[in-house]
Amino acid sequence: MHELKEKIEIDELFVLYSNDVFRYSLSLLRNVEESKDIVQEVFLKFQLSENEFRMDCNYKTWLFKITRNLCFNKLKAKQNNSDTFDDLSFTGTQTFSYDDLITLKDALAKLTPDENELIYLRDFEKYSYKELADMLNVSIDNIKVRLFRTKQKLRKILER
Amino acid sequence: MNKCIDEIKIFELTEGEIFGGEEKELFDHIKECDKCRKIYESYAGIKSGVQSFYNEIELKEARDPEAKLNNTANGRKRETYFKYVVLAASIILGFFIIENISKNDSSLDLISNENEVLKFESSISEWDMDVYTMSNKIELIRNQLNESILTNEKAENENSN
Repeated sequence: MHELKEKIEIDELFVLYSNDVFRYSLSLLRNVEESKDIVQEVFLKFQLSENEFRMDCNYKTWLFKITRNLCFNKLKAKQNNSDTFDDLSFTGTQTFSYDDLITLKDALAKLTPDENELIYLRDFEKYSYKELADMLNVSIDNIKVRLFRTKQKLRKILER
Repeated sequence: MNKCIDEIKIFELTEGEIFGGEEKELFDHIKECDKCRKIYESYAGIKSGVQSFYNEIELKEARDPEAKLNNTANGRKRETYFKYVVLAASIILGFFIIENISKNDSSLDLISNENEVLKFESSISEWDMDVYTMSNKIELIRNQLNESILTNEKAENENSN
């Protein structure tokens, strides 16, 4: 983590991590406009509380902590999250067609915010079980079991 | 390995949590077993599908955090300053308006003080008295003038006769 000792300007941080923060908040909120608001709030909050930033973790981890708190506050206020990744547009990839991605989108929309978060952090951000356990304040075994159950649920949804 | 693999083992395999000899043994079985291969492919498909899904998502038209900052901390300060400026301007403007009105309408000063009102009333009475006296004098002069004209006319008539 020595490389992180150097202070990075907020503009640079925004360029580097705004997409990650957006995707992470989208995995929790499933709403594009609300996720855009969260990105704005995250960097604002970071700017206002920069002195509290601990150099023992990296910028992205710190930004993700802020993102998580803000998203769960929003979800708590909403109580019932009925958003389903509307307003997302896909072009499709070589491996997955547009239809495949829409099917996956509908399946992900049926998961809870915690389940979506876990899948996003593990499969897209590629966090290890240990990193996930530290981040979500649970044991490694808990992460393994939860991830398996979530993927099992997703697999069953997709098989229907 | 003829017996089918536990689903959780297949899941761990796709997560890269099984290594070495055990990994090779499981893959050998998956090659031979349609059922296990199907399960493996679905877990592996979910993993790469999630990667493609989030890869396609990009933050377009990001909102500037500075704009939010202006709407919050600094914005509130500016708003407060603006309120004070408007308040101060209103007080100064009000002061000038009242002063102008009182300059134009001296009765305002008089009304504000009872003694002044009395003075004002008495000055009006004095002025009235002066006017009355003056008009009487004018009438008196006019009568005297008329009398002298008549006297002159009489004297001229007598002379002509």
